[in-house]
Amino acid sequence: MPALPNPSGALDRVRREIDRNVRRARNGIKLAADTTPPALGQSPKDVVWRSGRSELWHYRGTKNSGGPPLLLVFSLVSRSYICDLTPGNSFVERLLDAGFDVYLLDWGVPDERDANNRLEDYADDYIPAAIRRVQQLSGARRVDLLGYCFGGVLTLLHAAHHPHSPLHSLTVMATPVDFQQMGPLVEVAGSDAVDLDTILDDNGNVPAGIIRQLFRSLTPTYEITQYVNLWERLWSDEYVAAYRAITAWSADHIPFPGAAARQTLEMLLKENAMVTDRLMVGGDRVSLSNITVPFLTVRANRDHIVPRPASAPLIDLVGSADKNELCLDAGHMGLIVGKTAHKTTIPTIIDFLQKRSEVSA
Amino acid sequence: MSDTHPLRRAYDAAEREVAPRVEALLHSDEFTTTTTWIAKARKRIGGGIAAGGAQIWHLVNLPAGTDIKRLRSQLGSLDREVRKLGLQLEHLQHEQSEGGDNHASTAESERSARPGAPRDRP
Repeated sequence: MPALPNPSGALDRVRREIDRNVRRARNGIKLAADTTPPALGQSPKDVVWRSGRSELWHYRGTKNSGGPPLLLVFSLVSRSYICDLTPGNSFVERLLDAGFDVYLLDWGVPDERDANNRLEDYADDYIPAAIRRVQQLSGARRVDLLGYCFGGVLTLLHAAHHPHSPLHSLTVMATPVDFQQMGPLVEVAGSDAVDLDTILDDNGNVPAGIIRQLFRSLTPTYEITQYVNLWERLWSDEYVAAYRAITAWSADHIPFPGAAARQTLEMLLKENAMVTDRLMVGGDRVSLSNITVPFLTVRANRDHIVPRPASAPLIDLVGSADKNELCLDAGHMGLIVGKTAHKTTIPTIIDFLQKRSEVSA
Repeated sequence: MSDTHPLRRAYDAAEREVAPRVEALLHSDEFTTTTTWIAKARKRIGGGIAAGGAQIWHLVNLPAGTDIKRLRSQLGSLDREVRKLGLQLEHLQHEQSEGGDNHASTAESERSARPGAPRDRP
């Protein structure tokens, strides 16, 4: 005899749908009516150094394990508050909870005064200055350095040009080295038809709008899919809050200093200098093999911005004896925000850094 | 029975068909060439208008937008040089203070090495 359907199960589903429809309506009205931007990057911090538009932030933590301080370096084309998106969804928060003394070097919003900033300004001037300031404030001799995306490129250039920099370890996340494997992003940017001078704005920088369009062109239907996802999950307060936060950050690109953009195009992309060993930083020929500090590269298998072939060669290029590679099933930003980040990436990075701190203690 | 809404399944199917074609179009050489040509044309036209406007402003001895843009660029370069000098000065001051600390700690170590003298904490 066939089993009869469970009436209480059907009733629960009906109740759940009614409840979800009520929440959909409420969240839908809130999304449409609430024009105040979401509160992002809220972890308490102090500005402990600045130069131009760049600032060094020291996050206030209550636990300190006594290990080396950790300096985060972010990309030049997007806002660093993705590292500290919202309470409960913050890379910085997790690091503070694990007892790290966390600093972040934020590049601010470039204007005409930054148009002539070259890659060596960041690798040879700003990053060393930030490291010195971290040493002064923390009393530590050495610093753990962590670079994300293009911030990872800058930290690699710094470590390669300054092999005696007081680094305790270097970690890079979602960092490209083989720029010719970057796929559509650089096929468009590196095309001979593209003239950088045509793209630069009156300030001499690549406008934030162009950066945003470039990223959008990678997955042109993504925005529509996001709206469909939102419609499907509109009943979830947690999803709606995360959607608002990520959407705000995705729309908030910053201009790319013109001189650094030109170097990126010519040296990193067209010459593919990181893998062809033709890097020139501050007039010196440098090589990633100069990097000998304990090293970790974290790559995302579903990264549509830095595809796997673009980041894969890095582990073989650095000269460190203690070098590690972590490949995770995540997207580009999924390495530091979202469920995968909090379950896997972040604990693994924390584990790597903590183990290095114990070894040197 | 799948939990996915039928409309969602329909969207996903349509997106799987449409997305690769849109991506191929946006990433094609023809699209890049066309958008670059349009950008160049806009810049050329804008440049022509700015040059014409500059002549008019200069006739009455007033600065034009191009003059202001050039001045801002020069100020930007100057700002960068000043920033770099400031950072180099910071670096020198840091090295001097480290050198001073090393000198002080060397002197302290020499005093501590004498018998009966208190040891420095590591």
